[in-house]
Amino acid sequence: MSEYQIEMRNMYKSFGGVKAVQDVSMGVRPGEIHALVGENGAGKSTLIRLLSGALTPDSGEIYVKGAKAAINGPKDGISYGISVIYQEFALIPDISVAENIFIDEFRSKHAVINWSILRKRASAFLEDIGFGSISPSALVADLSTAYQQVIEICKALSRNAAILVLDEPTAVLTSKEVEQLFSLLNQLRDKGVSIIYISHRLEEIFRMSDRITVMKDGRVVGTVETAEIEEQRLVNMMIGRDLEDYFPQRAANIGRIVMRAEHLKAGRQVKDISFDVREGEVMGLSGLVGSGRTEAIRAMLGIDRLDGGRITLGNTEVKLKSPRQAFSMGIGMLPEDRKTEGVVLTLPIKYNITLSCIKSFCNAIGILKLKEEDRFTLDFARKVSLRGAASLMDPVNTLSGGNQQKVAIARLLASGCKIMILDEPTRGVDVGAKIEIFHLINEMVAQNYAVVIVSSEMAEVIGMCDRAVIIREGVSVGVLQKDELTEQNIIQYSMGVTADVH
Amino acid sequence: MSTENEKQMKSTETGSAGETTLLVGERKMTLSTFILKYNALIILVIMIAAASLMSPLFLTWNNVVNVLRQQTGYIVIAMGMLMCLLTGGIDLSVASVVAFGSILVTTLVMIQGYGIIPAILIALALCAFVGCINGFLVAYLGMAPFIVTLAMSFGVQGVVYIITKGMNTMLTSNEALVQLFLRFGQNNDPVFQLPWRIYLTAAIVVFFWFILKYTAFGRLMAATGSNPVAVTLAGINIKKYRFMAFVICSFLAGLAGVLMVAGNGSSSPATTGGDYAMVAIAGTILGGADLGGGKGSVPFTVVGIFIMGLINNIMNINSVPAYPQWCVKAVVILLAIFMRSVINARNSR
Ligand SMILES: Nc1ncnc2c1ncn2[C@@H]1O[C@H](COP(=O)(O)OP(=O)(O)OP(=O)(O)O)[C@@H](O)[C@H]1O
Ligand SMILES: [Mg+2]
Repeated sequence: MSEYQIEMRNMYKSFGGVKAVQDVSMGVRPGEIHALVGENGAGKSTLIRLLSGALTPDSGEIYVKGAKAAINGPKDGISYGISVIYQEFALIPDISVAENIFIDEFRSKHAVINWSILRKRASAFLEDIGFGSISPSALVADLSTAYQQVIEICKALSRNAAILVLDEPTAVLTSKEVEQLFSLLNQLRDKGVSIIYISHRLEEIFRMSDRITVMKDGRVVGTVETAEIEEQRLVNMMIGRDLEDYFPQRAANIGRIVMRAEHLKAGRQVKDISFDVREGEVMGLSGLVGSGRTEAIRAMLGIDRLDGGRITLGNTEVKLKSPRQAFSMGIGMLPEDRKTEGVVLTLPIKYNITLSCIKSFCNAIGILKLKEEDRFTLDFARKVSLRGAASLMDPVNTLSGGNQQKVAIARLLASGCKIMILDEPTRGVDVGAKIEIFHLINEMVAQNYAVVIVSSEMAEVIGMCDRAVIIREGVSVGVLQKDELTEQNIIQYSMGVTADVH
Repeated sequence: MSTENEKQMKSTETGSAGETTLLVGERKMTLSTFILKYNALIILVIMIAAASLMSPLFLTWNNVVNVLRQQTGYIVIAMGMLMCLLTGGIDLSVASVVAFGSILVTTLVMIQGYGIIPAILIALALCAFVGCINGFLVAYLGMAPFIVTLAMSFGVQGVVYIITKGMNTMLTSNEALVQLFLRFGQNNDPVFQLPWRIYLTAAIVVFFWFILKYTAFGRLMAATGSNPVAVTLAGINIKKYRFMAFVICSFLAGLAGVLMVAGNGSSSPATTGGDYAMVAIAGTILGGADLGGGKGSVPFTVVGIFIMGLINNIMNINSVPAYPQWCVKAVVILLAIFMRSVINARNSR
């Protein structure tokens, strides 16, 4: 019997000329949490897809409990007890939670579905992992991204997974939910489940994992015991150099208020949210997932209906009816969900980057100056340190998750808006690139841009923002100045533990 | 053109030593991506090869010109259909609009006594107006394009029969402009002996190819169907592009109707029952478009239409009767789409 529950040997996979995975071998022991880390485009997600059968390797072998496994499609992966929760979810939005969890069972077992039993089982599963508050009959489309994540995990558990793979599971969760996830993972580890855990958040890796495998440019750099390596070394293995300051300093030069939103009210989730942002300032909107931050932004920009409130730009009150109008007034935004909102996956990188500013490349009669566009796009692709493209005419869906996010950011930068609203700007972005994005934000701020960051990562709000408005259950409950921005204060405000921290 | 640029970009990129390379490697074109991309062209070439082996009549000048001329109307309509499919729409009303355009011209000239030029302009404007209604209902009221245009095809068919009372109308007049119009539709150019209609069609094709490739309008038109949500959030007014697609489609259908009058010297309300919508949709889809929007190209749409046209032609010159021809069309369409989806599925693994 092999020491490993699952082992991959000499895996290879190329896409056209791009060698995504080269000669990768790794093994995961029973009851181990094995972290898989590496830069954006290092090949982590591709490796996982090979493991689950979603992609077929060019060559390489997979062993489950020491026996060679023939995995030729996703169904085979499941039958070997391999369950993967992808970076991009695979839920069906228009059916209920219970149906999503037990979707496999619909294929054959019973011709008639017993709804009440199905719902009871689903609710037992949810209860078990500490999310009893999710109703099994709710539609998945109505759930927050965080809750959708939970449903994904339930789905994997319902298959009795012996090997659970999570591709950046915490990217969409807030601290409390992360804790719940972690205790769940520990529980599973104790039961002997092997867990492969992909994340760009180093503190999580160090806290949770037993061993770490580092990938770079499609190859394994090494596998180490977590206890025997320190952060600097790990980062160096990942990106091939040492990192400077996590949150680069900037000289704050904060000017007048350029945009003010007062008493926004929209739908069920936004009750009374007010905030403003000044020239040369990074303003944070912090709060739990589901507290109404994203919804407030969407209503403000005219994407969803705004039921009440005032928006002032400079000194004039405005009503924004569409994102187009917002853009034309110099307010740009980076949407929360990159895959469905941030980028157009099937269009080339180039077209995505110039999507918002394409008109500026037109000559007098509307014909595009393509050469100029080429130069411009290359410039922005470099600015956001895009990696892994063979050509800027490649469709965005050939890029890794983090690089897709960089395309979305490049598009926003290219739009030339002076007020920028960034909803989870560094989600899924690797450590090196994160710092590059922070540098970009600093650069914009230095040019008197006004930046609003919506972020669930507390460290990011604390490290980057000059000021933060905390939102709890659809109401803005307080403003924290730079020197008041501490983890404790943010938690207190956003959970309503104490009313006053001053 | 753009590959030239990329090469240049790449060399400047890798040339600057020290900087991490932005663009990695060449993406090689594998056999399957080649087949996927040129799927329609490959089928067309195979058909041409097979047809010239089967019948010596096939590759004669007369037959080739004949095929070209027969497809002109379909190609013009397919350009509009492509715009609709790109934005994620579809237009089932084109046959009725073709008829509408043609009967308007003859009715206005022969019964209302208009000059041919105002008659053409009015016909085109009214056809475009039909497109405005389609576009308004789809883009601004959010109704389903399939249903809107299906209803519209009945509505316009009704109007066509009301106006004509079900009668065919001949366009006969000694007026010089009418004669010129008919000669344009029926004669060949003196140099190459190609029908004038082919030149107009070619110009329209080049025009739309240019629009899609070199203008912001075309770029955004195609983007609209690729992911309407993301494109809206990027600050684009997608309603405008959805609306325009239907206007363009109906306008071109009307134009095809006008050309038909020039070719036949008459109009018939029975044109409403023609296969224009189906052939245009089939040709566009053979050329790489799909009903989900955002896909499709002008040159391959032309190829797709020729595939449809050649099926008829090959079987005609081999004296296969009309009814089995339809079955063969079905087989070719299904085979082509099958081939594409098989390769697509393989490529994504
Ligand atoms: N379908 C595809 N077609 C072409 N290239 C692809 C495809 N999928 C991935 N790639 C390429 O393979 C490489 C590895 O991508 P992968 O998604 O595995 O990276 P990753 O390590 O998961 O990165 P991230 O942290 O950003 O998610 C990238 O260079 C990417 O461009
Ligand atoms: Mg990934």
